[in-house]
Parts: sequence; structure tokens; C-alpha cells
Amino acid sequence: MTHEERRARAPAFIASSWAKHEISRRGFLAGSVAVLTSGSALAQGRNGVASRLNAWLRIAADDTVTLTVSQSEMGQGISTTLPVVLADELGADWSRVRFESADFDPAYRHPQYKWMFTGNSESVSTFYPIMRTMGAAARQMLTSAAATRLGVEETTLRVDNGRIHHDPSGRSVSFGQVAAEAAKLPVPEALTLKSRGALKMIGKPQQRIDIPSKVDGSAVFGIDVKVPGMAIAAIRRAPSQGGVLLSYDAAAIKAKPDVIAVVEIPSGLAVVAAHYWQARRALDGALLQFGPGPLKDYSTRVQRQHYADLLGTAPFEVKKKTGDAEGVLAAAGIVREATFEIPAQAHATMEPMNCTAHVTDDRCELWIPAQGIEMIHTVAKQTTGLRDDQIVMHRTLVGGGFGRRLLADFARDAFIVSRAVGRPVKVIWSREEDMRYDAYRPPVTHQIRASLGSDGQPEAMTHRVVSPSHMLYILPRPESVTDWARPMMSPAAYDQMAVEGLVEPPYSLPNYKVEQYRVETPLSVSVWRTTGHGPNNFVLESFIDELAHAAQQDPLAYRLTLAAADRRALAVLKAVAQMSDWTSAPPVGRARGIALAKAFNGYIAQAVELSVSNKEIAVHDVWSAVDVGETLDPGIAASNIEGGVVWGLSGLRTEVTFANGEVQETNFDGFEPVHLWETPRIKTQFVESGAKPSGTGELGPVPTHAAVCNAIFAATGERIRALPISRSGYRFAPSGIAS
Amino acid sequence: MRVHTAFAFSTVAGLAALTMVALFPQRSASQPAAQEAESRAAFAVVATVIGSPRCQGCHTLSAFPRQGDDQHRHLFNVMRGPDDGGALGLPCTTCHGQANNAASGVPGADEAWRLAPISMGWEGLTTADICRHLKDPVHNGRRIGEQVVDHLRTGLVKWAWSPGTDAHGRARTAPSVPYSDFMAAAEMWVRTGEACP
Amino acid sequence: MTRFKLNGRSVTIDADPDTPLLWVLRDELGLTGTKYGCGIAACGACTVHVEGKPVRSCSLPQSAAEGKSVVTIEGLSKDRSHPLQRAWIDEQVPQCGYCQSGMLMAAAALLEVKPHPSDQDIDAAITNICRCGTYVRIRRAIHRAAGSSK
Repeated sequence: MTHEERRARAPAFIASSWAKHEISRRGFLAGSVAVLTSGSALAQGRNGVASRLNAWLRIAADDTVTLTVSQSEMGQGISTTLPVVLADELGADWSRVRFESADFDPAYRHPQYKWMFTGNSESVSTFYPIMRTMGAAARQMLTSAAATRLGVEETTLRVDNGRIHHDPSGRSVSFGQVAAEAAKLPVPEALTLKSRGALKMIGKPQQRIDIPSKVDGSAVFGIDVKVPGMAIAAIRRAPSQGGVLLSYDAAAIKAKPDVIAVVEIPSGLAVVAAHYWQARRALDGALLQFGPGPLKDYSTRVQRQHYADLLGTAPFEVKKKTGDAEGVLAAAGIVREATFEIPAQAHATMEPMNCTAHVTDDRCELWIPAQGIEMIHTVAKQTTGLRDDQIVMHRTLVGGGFGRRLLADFARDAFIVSRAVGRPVKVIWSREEDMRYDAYRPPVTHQIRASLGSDGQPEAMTHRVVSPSHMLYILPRPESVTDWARPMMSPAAYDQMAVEGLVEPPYSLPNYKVEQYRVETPLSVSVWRTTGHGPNNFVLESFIDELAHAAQQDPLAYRLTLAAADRRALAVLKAVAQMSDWTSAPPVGRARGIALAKAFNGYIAQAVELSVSNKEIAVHDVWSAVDVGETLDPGIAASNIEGGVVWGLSGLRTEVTFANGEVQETNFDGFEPVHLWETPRIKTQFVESGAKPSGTGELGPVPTHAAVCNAIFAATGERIRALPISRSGYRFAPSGIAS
Repeated sequence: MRVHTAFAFSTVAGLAALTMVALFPQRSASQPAAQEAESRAAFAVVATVIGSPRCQGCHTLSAFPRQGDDQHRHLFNVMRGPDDGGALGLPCTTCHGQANNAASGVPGADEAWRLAPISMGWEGLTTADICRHLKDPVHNGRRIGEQVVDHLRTGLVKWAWSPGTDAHGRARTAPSVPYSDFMAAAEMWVRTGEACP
Repeated sequence: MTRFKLNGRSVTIDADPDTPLLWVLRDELGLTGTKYGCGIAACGACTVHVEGKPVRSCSLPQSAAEGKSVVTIEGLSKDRSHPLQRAWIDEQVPQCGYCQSGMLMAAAALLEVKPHPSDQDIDAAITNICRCGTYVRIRRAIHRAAGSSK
């Protein structure tokens, strides 16, 4: 595609003024007007019919409404949920709606972080109001144009199913008939959003737009990309991250007739061939020798001891302080204390890291399954030295994100290799490369202490967290990027993730202190589905359970008292109690556990029923009561919670460990996620609190670790304070469900 | 605890006995007591192989195969299935092909991969029990005499001596007795009356 | 040269005999519905049918397909009309979708030999890995398809 073709195809890209783009609410609309003006002209120049009303939608004369999907589709259904909101507010005919994935454009940045990405369960909470606003603005512009066309007052018009009706005269016009005129109008000063009752699709389960292509093999993930002239590269790097390539048998590689090129990349080698297996085979025979890197002395055994030592010696930073927890504990007769160890985790997305790039002297075009669109754009600029408008990014479907694809490291290899060979190259990581060169969820160690008042409720609690920063290592440093690409978060906020869920618990704790020591780590670490909420909730909810048992109170009743001031927490707790029939005893041989989480702007209470025999855990049922404010699509949201529960169960079993700086779990034999036969019945119910809509992508797994381990305690009397469960000798058995 | 350790008696002694048997076959045939001793010695060699995790993994008494030198339960909930060839819809041949696959590390043989029937399972049995099972048509697949030895010439049995490398490139351990010695011992055991310990 | 039937059509492959069928399908024949997930026959994303039986194509040398009939997700039906594909849509099974070709091919192999599988049958036959955790709906969709294909 030529640059001119690209201008025509993606007008928003050109119209946006990179440096001065501000996305306040007003500014966002103003910015969209800029997009609108030149954008519609360009679009018309292309096919003479499509009119762009704002950055998110354009309407063709044949009534086709094309909505832009700004967020990456990685299974969470966002490419359906957000367009549904926009179309519903607009009053479009859903059968005439088409979709396109946005390339990188500042118009689609997260307005708070000023950074385009998909993650942290923020797509709904951030873009829901924007979709409503954009839909309403376009509807009003179309109505204005229709009023002019029909010669009537705007107030006499009604929009429904892609048409604007004038009921008194029985006349109507379609969106397509007035779109070109509407596109020339100014964005309305005042917007009127539809009342809840006037919305037809929001709140009802919809068929996801991406699903048909995912049942017949036609869905295009990054690894499936094919572009003219493309070659494919296999790579191998030092088994210890950051190690050095010492030597390899170049002659052996060159002797393979299929090999196109050999390119050295950081810590390793890429072999380029027409087909993946030719490249992979050549690598296998190349006798690569590696030297150690910065991780060479890193081991999980030493890390655990180090973190344990730090609990008593490190200079902790206070993250939250209410009352005088230490004073109360010092005076208390009995202080309960527990230490928790949570391991490093790999993302292990089913689609291994890959990227296709075509880098020339004046252009970098790439095809990538990405969450971190702007991060990748930034790294493309840094790596190639090209300008913003010379970077052309095509986003594919994402075969699992979970936070891994916020990073840009897997794109960098493709830039280097393509540049070296002067043609498009698809770089595919093997599963082993994917596991060895992940940016892991960091291992953490917590210590928590509490004393109970005469009512059995905690009168004081202190919580110490030894954790690396989840974010610090993956953000572009401000000094190394141009000023428009600011990091998503300020340095002061980097470490909130290590204590999130702890500093804003749903519980009333009169004397409470949370401290963190941000331990330096040579390990490459990053966010992993549940971010800090997952490990933190495991610790807090396991310990609350311990306190309930110490106070000889029912774990549900204990939480209801402790969360009495939090209406939303109470509602989900009561709902899950009903779902699980909590107050009735479980069937003989079974036990239940419960946990509560307040995370990602939502609430979830989860109950688990399981049985334990000979250290084998059969998880039979998981019930979740979820409050995400207003549930935009209960079908999609339920599937996210269901999948989230499985993610939570998997995290009880998986871990990555290190010895001599090398990851020991390099494939699905050593890193074994939960399978179908271990998956329980999963029931999900939504509690509509009326709060602002929030995301379901990561909420499901947050309480699962604690709910399961609390149930294991109920079954066996044994507390699990170190994960994975294999450290206590437990393993999963088939769930034995009969549906 | 693991079954194959029960067979970890002196292979060297067994081999020495076998060597003597081979050197003096006539004498052994002529004297019943000596012949029985030779037969037992031959079986000791056979038993060493039977104890190999390569054999034990599929001669289980459970609903599933085992794998690895630690004889852990086969990963991925792999089941024996109704015909010992894997679960309905997931036959052993879904992964196990006609040869070891160096790329994936999945073993294969030039015979359809499958478990031994439950009746031929050895898990938890003593050496003496296994020996009796090998002679018992109920437990040896209705084989008699030489037919038992014929089984040892099949692709699945021979695979134990060329078990390939696993997914991480580590070589699987083969039985400590060479195949030719094993076959010689097995033939000797049958010829000398199939004596059991 | 290897000749085999792919989704009903004859194909001829000129590649290293040891090349896994998976990569021949994807790179030489352009059928990318079959996915690479682990390369060690552990995840099942590469499941296809050979002579009507499920095979993890990352672990099958392409030469072993000689003279055989191979069916991939692209050949399961022409128009998403296989009962499993319809059930997959009705139950809204896929999330990221990367594993689902393999899931569908594994489920189709199960229904071939057990048209009305029990939950235990499904437990034993579907050992594929889905990192998004769609298992609950996969189970439901298999039951639904079994019902509709009666």
C-alpha cells in the first residue's frame, strides 16, 4: 500500500495533530471534528460515499455504518461490547453495522493516561462514556441534517433503526441519505444521551462479532499473517534471559539450501527461511553456544529466602495508615501472624509471541497481535529512527493477551530482522522462547499481623509487601521517547499495583497499616491477568478467613460484619451466599470456601465447593456474584468471569521457577494450566448496583485463589500460605462433574 | 515404592548366570534341578527388563498409563480407554506416531501405540507374580511358550531399547540389559521350563 | 514428495519428510486455521483428522500422511454448518479463539466414535488447553451438538 492509499484508508491518522492532541471531553470532541473535516474529505475522495462523523464512525450512502474498534480483541468481547454501545446510542440498524480495527492514532488514547492500549480491565470503564457521547453527537448531527432536508424542526424527529422519522408527516430519511451533510455540521454543544429505557441493546447478551471466524479457522491472528514477499524467522536466544550468544556454526546454517539469512538479535540468533520449519531446523543444527547474562545467579530458592529476610530488615514505605495499628498490636495479648509466598507466573498465551514487519529506509509497516499499541509504535520509532507517519501498524486478533502483549519486545525482533534482510519477515517465537523470554508476574512475599477485639473482629492489622514494581520495567522511560509519548503512569504511581486491593479494602479496619518494600529484581517482570489484585487478594482473604476461624465465626458472617459500611460488598456477599446455599451444610465429604474482592472498579464474591481425598482436590462448583455497576453485556461478561475462574484455578497450580538464571518450566508439560476435566461447574450472577460500568476481564480470578484455599482449609484444617498448591503436596483431580 | 525398584536386584548376577547357562546348555538340560536354576536365572534377566519404566508405563493395572522414570501418571488425563488404545476420541495415536518424533519428543513405534491389557498389567506385582502371569494364558494374552517370546519381537517391545529423547532433548533411559541378551534370556527361560522364583 | 488428500483435494508436498504436518499445512498449503501452540503434542491446538482420527499435527511428520486423507478445521464443513460449529456459535464458546480449531477437531473426533458422549467421555477426550478458560462452554456445546445431531 502506498502512503497515499494509506491516507485514504485511515484518514483519522493523518488528520490528527500529534503534538497538540488533548483528550478532555470537550477536547476529544473538538479533536474528532478535526478528524471529521479532513477525514470525510479524504474518504469521499476514495469512494465518494463514506462520510466520517467522528473518529469512531462513518456512514456510507448505502446506509452501511462502519464503527472503529479502538481496543484489542483478545477474547474479552470488547470488539462487540463497545460498538453495541455506540450503535445503540446512535440508533443504528445493527444489521448494517460493519467494524474496523483502529491503527495507532492519538484519537484512541486512554484519556487519562494519554496512551493507546488495551489492558487493566479499563476498556469498558474508560470507553463506555465515550461511546455514548460519540453515538449521541452523531445522532444529533444526523438529526440536524435530516431536519434541514425535510424542512422540519429537529424536535419533531425521531431516530430509530438507522432512519430519522418525521412522524407527523410520515416521512423519513435514512442515515446514508443525510450522512454527507451531517458530516459537515459542527459537533453539538449540548448532548442528550438516551434514557435507559430507550436503549435496546445495552444490557442484553449479544452475539459476538468475532466468533463466527473463530469456529472455521478463518480468524487471522498475528501468526497467520501473510504479506507478499514475506519470509519467516525462527529465533533462539540464551536460555538465561539477557545471556550472550558466544558462537554458532554459521557454515552449518548456510549449508541448508532453504535458509535465506542469519541475523544476530539481542542474546541470540534469527534464521530466516521461506517456511518456519526450515528456519527452525537450521537453528537446531547450528550448535548455538551461550554465555550467562545478568540472571546467572538468580534462583527461586534464593529469591524466597531473600524476600523472607527482607520482611524483617528492609526499609518499608507506608502506603496506607489508619489509626495506630502497631501500637494496638504491641498492647494486644494475642497477635496472629502469617507469611505468604506467591510465585512468579508466565502468561503462556496460546498464541506464542510473533510479529510481522517490513522495515525499509523510510517506512516501517507491521502486523501484530498487540495490546500495547502505542508502546509498539514508540518502540518502532526508537528502533528504526523513523517518524510517526512512517510507522504503519496493522493490528490482528490477539491469541491471548493477559498483559503479555502490552510489551513491545516481540516486535523489536521483527524490526531488526526485516531491516537486515530487506523484506517482510514474520518472526515466530517457539513456545520455549515464549516461556524463557516472558516478562513474568513477579514473585512476592507478604507478612500480615492482626489482633482481634472482644467481638472477634480485627482491632488492628499490619500488612507488609515485598514486591518488585509490576510496571517500572516495562514503561518507556520519559527521557528516551519524544515528549508526546508520555508513560501511562507517573513514577509515583508505579508501585500502587503492588498494594492495590490492600490500600482500599472493602472492610472497615480501624487500625490498619500497609507497607511495601519495592525490591529490585534482575528478573523481567510485568503485569499478568489480575495484576497486583490477584496475589494481594489471596493474602488478605486467606487471612481474613483465618481470623474468622480464630474468632469462631462463620467466614461469610464475619465478612458481612467487616464490610458493613460497603453497600456493594454486602450485596455481592449476600448474593453468593444465596447462590451457594451457604447457610446449609455442604454434602457429606465436601467443603466450602468464600472470598470477596473489590478490584478493577467492581466487586466480586466467590464461593467454592470441593472435596479433598488423599491430597487430591476435586473442585466441584464455583459461584460468583459480580457487581460491575451496570452489566453492558451479561453474556460476554459471564464468559469473562467463567474464564477468569479457570485462570484463577490454573494459577494455583502453575509457577515459573528459576535455577542458575534459567526458567525451569518451558512448555505445557512443566507449566500445566487447568484442563477441561479439572474445571468445575461455574455459575455467575450479576448484581446491578447502578455504579458506572466497569470491566470483567480480570475480575473473575481475583478471589479464586483464596476461595479455593479457604475451602481446602474447611476440608482439611490445613492452611495454604505458599503457592502453588504443590508446595503443600496438593494437586487437582478431575472435577467429576455431571452436567 | 515404585514397582520397578522391586526388580532392582543384581543384574550383574543375573547376567553371569545367563552366561553360564549359555556356555553349558547340554548339562543344564540333562539335570532337572540345574535346569530349573538356569531357567530362574534366565528369568532374572527378563525381570530386569520388565522392571524398566519403559515397559511398566504401559503394563499398568490402572485406567491410565504412566510415564517417565518416576512413573508419574501420564500427563493430560490420558486414559486407557475401552480397547487399551486410549479414550474414545483420543486414541494413543493422536500423539504417538510410527517412530520417535525428535521434534516434539513424543515416542512412537512401528506398531500402533497402546497399553497392554489390564490382564497383562504388572503394577505392584512381585517378580514371582509376574513370572506366573507370563505363563498364565489369562494374563499373557493367551500365549503359550514361544508365543510369549514372539511378543518380545514386536515394535512396541523393541521400542524400549530405542526410546528416543523427550520434548526437552533429554534421552530416555533404556533397559539396562541389551535387547539381544534379553531375548536370549527369554528364549532360554521358555526352553528351560519357565521356572519362576 | 508426499501425496495426500487434504479436505477432499489431492495435494503434493515437496518438503523435508520430517517437517511436521502442522507447518506444511500452515506455510506450504496456506491453511492457517490449524495452530501452533506448543510443538510437543501437549496443547492440542494443532489437532487435525488423519483417516478420520484425531492427530496432533505438530508431532506427525508430513511424510506419514502419504496416501492418507487429512481434514483440517477448514474442511470440517464448507459453511460453519457442522453441528459442533453451530453449537460453538450458539453457546458463544470462543474467547481469544486461538485454541478453538483444535478444540473443534478434537470434539468432532469424539462425536465420530461416541455420538452422545457422557461428561466422563468429554473429560477423557478433550485434553486440549484453553488459556482463556472456555471449558465450561465447550462441554455445553459438545452436549448441544450431540443432541442436535441425533
